[in-house]
Amino acid sequence: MTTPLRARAVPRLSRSPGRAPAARRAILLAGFCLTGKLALAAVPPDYADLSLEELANIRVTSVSRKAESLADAPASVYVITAEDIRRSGATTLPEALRLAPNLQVARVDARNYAITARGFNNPFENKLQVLIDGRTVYSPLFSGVFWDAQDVVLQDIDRIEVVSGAGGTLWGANAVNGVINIITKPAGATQGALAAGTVGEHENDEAVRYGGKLDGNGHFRIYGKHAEHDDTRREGSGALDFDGWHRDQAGFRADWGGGNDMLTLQGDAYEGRLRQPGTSDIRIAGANLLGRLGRTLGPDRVLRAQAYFDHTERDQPGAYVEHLDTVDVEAQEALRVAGRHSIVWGGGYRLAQDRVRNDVNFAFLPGSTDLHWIDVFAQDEIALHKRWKLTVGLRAENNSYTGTEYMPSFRLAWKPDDKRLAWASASRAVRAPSRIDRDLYAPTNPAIVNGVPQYFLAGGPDFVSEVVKDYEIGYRAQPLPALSYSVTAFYDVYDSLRTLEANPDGPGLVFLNNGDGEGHGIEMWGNWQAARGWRLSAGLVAQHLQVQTRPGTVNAASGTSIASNDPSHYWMLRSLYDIDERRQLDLTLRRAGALAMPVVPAYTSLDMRFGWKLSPRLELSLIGRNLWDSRHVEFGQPLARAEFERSILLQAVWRL
Amino acid sequence: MKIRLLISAWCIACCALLVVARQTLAADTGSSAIEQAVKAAYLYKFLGYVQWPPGAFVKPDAPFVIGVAGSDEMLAAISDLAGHHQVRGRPITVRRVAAGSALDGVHLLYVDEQGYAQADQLLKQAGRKPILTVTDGGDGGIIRFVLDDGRVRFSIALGLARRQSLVLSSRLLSVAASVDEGAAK
Repeated sequence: MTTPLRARAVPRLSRSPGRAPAARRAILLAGFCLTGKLALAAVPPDYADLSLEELANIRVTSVSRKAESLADAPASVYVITAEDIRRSGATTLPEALRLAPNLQVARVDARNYAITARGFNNPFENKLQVLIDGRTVYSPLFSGVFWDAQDVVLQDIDRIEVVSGAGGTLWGANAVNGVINIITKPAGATQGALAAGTVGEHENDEAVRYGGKLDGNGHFRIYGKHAEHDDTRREGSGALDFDGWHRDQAGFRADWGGGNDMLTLQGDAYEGRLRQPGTSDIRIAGANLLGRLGRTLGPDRVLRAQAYFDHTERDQPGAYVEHLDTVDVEAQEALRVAGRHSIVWGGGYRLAQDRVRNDVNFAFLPGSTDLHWIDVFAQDEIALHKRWKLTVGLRAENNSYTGTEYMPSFRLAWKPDDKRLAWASASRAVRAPSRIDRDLYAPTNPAIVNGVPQYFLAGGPDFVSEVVKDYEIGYRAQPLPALSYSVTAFYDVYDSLRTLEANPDGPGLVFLNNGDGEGHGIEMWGNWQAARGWRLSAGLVAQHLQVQTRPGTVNAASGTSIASNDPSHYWMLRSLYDIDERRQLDLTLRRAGALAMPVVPAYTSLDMRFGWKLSPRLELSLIGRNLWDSRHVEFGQPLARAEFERSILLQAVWRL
Repeated sequence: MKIRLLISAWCIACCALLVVARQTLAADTGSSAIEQAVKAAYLYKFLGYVQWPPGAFVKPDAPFVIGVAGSDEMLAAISDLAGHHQVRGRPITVRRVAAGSALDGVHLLYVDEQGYAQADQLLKQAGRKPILTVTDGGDGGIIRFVLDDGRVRFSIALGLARRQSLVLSSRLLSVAASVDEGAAK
């Protein structure tokens, strides 16, 4: 379900240091979410103390009740803002995700990324829920995201909410280690024409967008985008890696309403070619159409309904041809009962028609299958006391493979004053099987001996859901008007992780759930407005994840299955400095700890951006990437992996 | 074939939804108290990001004057806020105005274009003076409030501001949902 977290769950610092009484400000900073509640509670806050930007972020109608609850309900949430993205110089979605201190982002090659929170990173990472404007984009083929097929016009992103930790109650199966929620601006905020382009030695992208008005208090935008990237070079030899790509995309969004009713209709279509060694190009294509309706029925009741259709194609020579059609409908109601209960409940249904044409090396069997998900959820946020809030929720989700899975959560929050929030939570989330867990066979046409097909890999007929129990405590505070921070400690217990083992019922290997694991760590970040026009931020994650197979079992796929290849720590520092009203100098220093298997040395990277507003309409940016050293690697087997070089890009954004 | 059917069905469903939604939306124009409070706060903030020509104030400590042509609730929200705040050392006074009122001394004029029948006439009157016009539900003002995804944002007609000898700070422009040159040169 979608969800604008109305909030910067972290007390964010105001961009205009100043006169505002900190307490007032903290109310909003601790979560713009609160505005909805304030309206209900009829406490008039002093909006005059807020900056223009903060005013522009207040929801005057509260449509997404659930999201408010999520933000107010304590969780480890970081919100990447449009401003953060603009000043990072990021040109693709995965690069923009590096801005979230609670995400591990490792670039594998020109088009593949390994992205996760709390460990288990690899390019087939499968424990995140990822949504773009409410549309689920992780693939039912392997529970992971084809990052090479996901794109939006970066200038149109409103914010990206990143939740680390189990979020199954609100977000459903797959929100095991976190949720990435990419939200674009409403059409009314992208009016007029925009042309943006970036050019570097090995990549370029161009986007045009036009926004206008529609009858009946409506707005629309349409956009077109092209992006391409050259092949990267291999570590050591410097040979070309055959991983370059190009992609064209177009789409629209229209929003109507305001006041008590809102309607959104949006869609995108894309087509692209991705290189891979030894074969012709991978062809990708897709289109989606989404409608969303929000209606406020009174101060205490909000309804929201959404439906979308999504079609994707991936023709990967030597592997498979997949055509996937997804239909998803969902509805939710948020209401306040008896003054102290804020309830959100709802349900949804998703159908995925997956059509795979198999190649010879491996096969998804049956090639064609229909997958169904049906869910109902409810969450109650109970004000126990003025300072204490308890949130209890449960989701029951039925999937085609394992039947009904339950995802409960309990969260307790203590807010001693407007500037501090301490919280604790316990939740359970599952990763329901995807096609790769159950239906993957190799080779496609095995020899048959005595009527028994001699598969080397014989699917996972007994594979069940992977489960996490996530325990967290967190604290966030804004001790000074210009300083805020958030700290979360987590302890995660995983069971039934995927292992590959000797088939007990025949030849070959099968997927089973004989892995267990335990992770713990700390996530923290902070923001400091050091001076007017100079903001510093920092993020650090230190973690330890240990996985093992159960006694008496042997995992034959150590490299791709339960094995985690995660750094023990990673951190970043950012400095956003306004030289004057027209010029900005922004620096991002990142450090990722070493990976053990396969070994990847720790690396440091420095990105720099010099932005120059030539006029209110034209902004140029000179972007330097990976300036720290001449090249580094981030993931993969030694000598077979891509390395990323120092690079310079020039970006122009022109608004009319 | 199946896909094409699905897509067609989807498009029809969306169109139906649109029609229904449009009809229900038309009936709903009410704005909430929180929306008014946010708009009132914006008006107050705007005062700090605009430069009036010399002569707009009779004395160095003369108050900012906000003229309001809108609902009683909006007038109350603005008055409430004005009573507790100053801008650059100047107090703020609020008065109700109507078409034909003398606008002398008014620095900021808020007009609810939906709720006030003679909005056009009033804006025309203000158009010859150094008055920052802020409009709601229409596109006659220098600054126009727009509601986006449940949030109050604003767009700016820079040409109009120039014609009325007002200088808008770049910060104001950077927060605006859109900036256009406006009707006038």
